[in-house]
Amino acid sequence: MVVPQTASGAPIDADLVHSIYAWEVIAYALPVPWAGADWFGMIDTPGGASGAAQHPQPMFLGQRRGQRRQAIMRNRTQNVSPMDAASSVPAFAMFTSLAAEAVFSPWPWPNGDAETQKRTDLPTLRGLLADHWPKFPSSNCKRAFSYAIPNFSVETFKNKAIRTPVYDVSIYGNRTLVDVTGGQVQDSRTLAQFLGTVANASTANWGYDKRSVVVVKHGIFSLPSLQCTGCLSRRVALALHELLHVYWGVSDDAIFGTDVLASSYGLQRVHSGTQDITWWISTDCRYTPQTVPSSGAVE
Amino acid sequence: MKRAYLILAAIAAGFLSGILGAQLVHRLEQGAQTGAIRARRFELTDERGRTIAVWGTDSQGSAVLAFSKPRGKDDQAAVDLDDPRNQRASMGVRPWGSPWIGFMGSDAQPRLEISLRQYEKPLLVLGDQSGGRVSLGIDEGDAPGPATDDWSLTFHPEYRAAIGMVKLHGKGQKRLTGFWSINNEPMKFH
Repeated sequence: MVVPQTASGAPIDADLVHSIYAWEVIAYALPVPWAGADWFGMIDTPGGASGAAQHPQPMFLGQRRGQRRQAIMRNRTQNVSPMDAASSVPAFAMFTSLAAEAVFSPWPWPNGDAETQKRTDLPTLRGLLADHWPKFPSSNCKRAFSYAIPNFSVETFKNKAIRTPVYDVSIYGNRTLVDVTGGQVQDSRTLAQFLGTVANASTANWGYDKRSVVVVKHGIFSLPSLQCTGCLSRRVALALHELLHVYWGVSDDAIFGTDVLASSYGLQRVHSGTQDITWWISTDCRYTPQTVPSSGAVE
Repeated sequence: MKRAYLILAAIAAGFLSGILGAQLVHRLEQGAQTGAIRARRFELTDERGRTIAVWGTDSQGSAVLAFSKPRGKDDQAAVDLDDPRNQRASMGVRPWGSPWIGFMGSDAQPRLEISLRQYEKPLLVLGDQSGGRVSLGIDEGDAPGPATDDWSLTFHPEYRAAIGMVKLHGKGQKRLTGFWSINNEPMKFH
C-alpha cells in the first residue's frame, strides 16, 4: 500500500484521516441545526450566481453521507499522487476548521455574517415551519412536491429549511447579498435594495447545496390567512413557498410551468403570479383560490 | 572644482525643469482643446457656501448627481449628500450597474423611483410615508430570474388591484395573457 503524501513528500498520518472521519460522524450526529449540513458538498461545489433557474438533484442525507464516507475511505486506501494529497489536505483542514467552528458557534455558517452570528433570534424557514413539520409528510403538498421535484425527499427538504435564514429587511436592510450568502453571490446590493419597495419577499442564491437566503418585508408573516377547512396559515404557506424556490432552484414561472401541478394539483395563474402560489399552498396544494382574504393589519 | 559641479547641477536642473514645464503646458493645452475637466467630485454651493448638490460617488459607491433638501437661512448644519438618505433628488448608476432616478420625502422614504431592476428590467414605483403604493413595470415576484416576464400596474400593499400580463405555460407551450384583479374588501392599514 502506498502511503498518501503531501506535496512536500511527508506522509499523511492515517490517524488524521480517521479523526477527520470521526469529526464527520460527530458533525452529522449532533442534534443541532448544522448537523448533517453539507459542508462536505460545499468544499467540493463551487459557489454560483443567484437567480439562474437550476435543477438540483438533492440526494437523501444517507446517500450524501455514504458518498462522503466512500470518498474519505478512498483517500485512505488508494494510491494518492502528491498533487491529490496536496488538494485534500487543505480540504481536510478546512473541514476540521468548519466542524470546530460549528461546534462552538451558535450559527451554522462560519465566515458568513459575524453580526448575524451573534443574533440568535434570526429565524430560519424551519423555525417558521416548526409546527407544520409533523403534518407535512402526510400532506397533499408533500405529494405534489414529490411528483414535481426530481429526487424530492422530506428529509432533504427539511434539511434545506434548517439552513435557510430569513432576513427581516427592517432589521437587516443594510446588509449586502454578498455578506449574507458568505460570498457565494457577488452582488453588492443591500437586502433593502434587493427586496425593493413593493415586494413582500424575495429569495437569492437558490439551490439545494447553496447558502440561500430569504428576505422579507417586516410583518409579512402575520398577514391574514385563508379561512377554510384544512388550510394552512399564511406564515406556513409563505415559508413553504420560499422553501420551494431555494430547494428546487426554480422561479415562480417554472413552478407554474410544471404540468403535473396544474393538471393534478390545481395550481392556476389567477392573479399576478407569486401570490397564487402562496394561496395554492395555503389550500394544501389542492386548488388556487379565486379570491383572497383581505382583513387584518399591515404594518 | 566645487563651483563647476554646482554649475553643472544648475544646468541639469534647469534642463529637467524645462522638460517638465513643456510637458505640463502641453497637457493643459490638450485639455483646453478637448474641453475636458477631470475631477473626482463637483459640489454646488448656495450663496452661504453650503453644499446643495454634488456630482460624485456616494457612500454606497454609486456614481450620482444628488440634490439636498431645501434649507432655511439659519440652517448651517452640514448635510452629508454622500448618504443616500439625504439625497432629496438623485440620479445615477449603482455600483452593480443599475441606473436610477429617485425623489425622496423629507422622512427619507422614497416617493418616486425609476430603476432597472435585476436582469435590466425597468420598474417605476410611486409611494408615500408608508412605502410603495403603485408600481408599473416588471413584477419580479419572490424569485426574480432571467426568465421573469410578468408586467403589471399594481396597487399596494397586498395587491389591492392590478392589471397586467403574465406568461402561461401548458403542454410545452408558453403564451402571454392579460389579467386584472381587484380586491375591494376593506383592509386595516396603519
